[in-house]
Amino acid sequence: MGTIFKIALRNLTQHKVKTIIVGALITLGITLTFIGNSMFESAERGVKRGYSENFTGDVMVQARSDKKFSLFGFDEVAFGGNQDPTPVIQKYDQVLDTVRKLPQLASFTSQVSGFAFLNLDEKGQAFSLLFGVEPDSYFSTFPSIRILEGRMLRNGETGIMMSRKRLDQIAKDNKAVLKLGDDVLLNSFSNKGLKIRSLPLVGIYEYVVPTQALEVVSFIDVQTMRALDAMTVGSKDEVKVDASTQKALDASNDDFFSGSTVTAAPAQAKVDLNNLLGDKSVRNSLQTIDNGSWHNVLIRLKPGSDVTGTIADLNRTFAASQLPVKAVGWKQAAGTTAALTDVAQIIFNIVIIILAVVAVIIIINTLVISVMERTSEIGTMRALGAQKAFIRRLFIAETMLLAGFFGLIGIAVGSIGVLAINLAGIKIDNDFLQILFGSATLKPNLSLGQMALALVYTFFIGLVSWIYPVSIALKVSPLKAITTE
Amino acid sequence: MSIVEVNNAKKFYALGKTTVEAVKGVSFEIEQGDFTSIAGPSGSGKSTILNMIGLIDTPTDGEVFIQGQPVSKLKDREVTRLRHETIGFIFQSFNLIPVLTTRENIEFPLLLGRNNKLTRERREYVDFLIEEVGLQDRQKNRPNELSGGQRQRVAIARALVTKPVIVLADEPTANLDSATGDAILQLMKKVNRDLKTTFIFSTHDAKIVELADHIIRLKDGLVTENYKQTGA
Repeated sequence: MGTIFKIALRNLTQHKVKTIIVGALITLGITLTFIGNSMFESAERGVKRGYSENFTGDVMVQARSDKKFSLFGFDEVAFGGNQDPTPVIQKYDQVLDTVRKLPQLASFTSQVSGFAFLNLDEKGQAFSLLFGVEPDSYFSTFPSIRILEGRMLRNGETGIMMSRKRLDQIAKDNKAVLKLGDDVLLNSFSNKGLKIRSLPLVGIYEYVVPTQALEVVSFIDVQTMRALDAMTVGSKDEVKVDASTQKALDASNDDFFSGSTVTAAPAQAKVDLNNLLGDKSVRNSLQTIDNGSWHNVLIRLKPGSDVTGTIADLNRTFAASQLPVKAVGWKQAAGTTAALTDVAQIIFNIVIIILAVVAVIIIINTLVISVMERTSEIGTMRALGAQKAFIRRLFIAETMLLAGFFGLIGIAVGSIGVLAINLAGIKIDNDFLQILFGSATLKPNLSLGQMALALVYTFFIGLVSWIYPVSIALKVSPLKAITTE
Repeated sequence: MSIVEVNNAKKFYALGKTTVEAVKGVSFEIEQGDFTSIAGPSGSGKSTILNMIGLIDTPTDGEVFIQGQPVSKLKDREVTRLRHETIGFIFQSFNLIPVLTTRENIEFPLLLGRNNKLTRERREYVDFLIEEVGLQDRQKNRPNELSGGQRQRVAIARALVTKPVIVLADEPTANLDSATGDAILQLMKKVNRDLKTTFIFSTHDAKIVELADHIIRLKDGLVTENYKQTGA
């Protein structure tokens, strides 16, 4: 083996230009991959921290549904009243009992999500994401909110809390200044009609953990949120009607004038004005706000808890108890915005794969040229008694030394790059990039995991690169030693 | 028993749509310890025959026997092993491994094969060969730092290091000046005499042919003369 490495190493040093070209390519690829992946790793941590500490908790319990939905409702937003309502948790008390029994439970809160338009009279409307919360439990579960003006919303109180950033944005976009104590008019329009609610602005806040791009969320009391979301007692129930009513409901306009569908009341019948509308219980239930309706239960676990294991345990318990709910992690709870990081990382990885393929092709090309130039040498070795396995090992050693050495340089350069970016603390002004990197400052982390991953990439490049050149080298016969000058 | 036997060997090459008959059916035997010259003009087929004896080319028809063993049915691995254990090569263009030093080039065949340890005995034999070829002060030089004659001396030492029973040399002096060529031939003759190694070399130089004790003359792919001479 010593001879093989000696020959491989000397061949690499002897053909300096080729070695440097291929090596530079490997170094560049590994450096870019290392820095990129380090940034995405810290981005994921940042996004996770931003979301789990501010919004989602570690685990979210939601109603079972065919469609995927997050803390913000269904992923596909349909404006204009056709938005599917976010499913409500059924058997809420039993769900809470299960949650309370978690040994690793730190705190939990429940929430109703929705959106509405902030009516600014002649200055237009501003779209608002709303979280309907029970303030005491919510702000003790997510304590990273800092009140800048006013105070926190209180339990049982009607009101709204808005972020400084959102108010500034409204001031900029709509030229409307909302001040503490102002009544904020919210309109929501769903398939159950238009809802309008007026709420006093009780507090202006900001997040301690930076999530600037998510500060569009406003907090309101849960009862108002339920009203805006049209979460009424009757909305969950199926209304049963008798056959004649069903016939009337199914009738077309023409039927009303044909005489068979609607029968005229006898002329001398007395009309009881109090009971003109008959049984109003269904109508009333459709107008009574359901005080027990919640969309999500957000759970924070004790530090160091096994989140994945907890989700699995909860789902097993829910299934065993036949509760129509499921536990999901922070990423599903966060919805499409958090998935942006994943998408960006996938795109980055595709770019890296393309780069790696190009690099491998160039390395293969260079090695093939090297094999052709060394036909006589390989043939001589074969003539002197070298088996094919020896030639194979020789080229594997060469590509591995090449990839290993320059891969390590790539990791070293990448590490310096990561540290430099970290020390420089590059500020991100763009909202999209802030969501993507989970922070207002670019601070990638140096991790052993990324170093190990870069080493794996390096050796993968080495492994893939030698296959074709070696197959050519193995075809070189000893006869070539004599016929090739 | 003959150490090499060539039995009606033919070698045809396809060249476009025509077939070149390099060797048209030759037969001869070489005894152990022979200092054999395969002589003939360019294109007579001497290199092709040497390649077939050296197991680096196969006859289109006929058979080559090495130490009584027919080689045409052997697999690549077996041929390589037989070549390593039985045959040493001296190439016209020296064919040294450019990244290895003189000593490393000579040691190289010892590191192939199943027994690839550089034992003390083997190191001493390498020292002996280096001394025999007169390259003691060039041990750490690489091929590009050596003259043509020195390179061929390295090649001779390398061909002998595994103690082969046969050494094949394809025009060993073709790329050397006459004085160096003479010295190389004298060295080969000395090794042949001292170690009883069978040498088979090809040449078209009549002066060199006279040094051989077994001469096989070829013309147009056929043996025209095959005789032994004494006093060479």
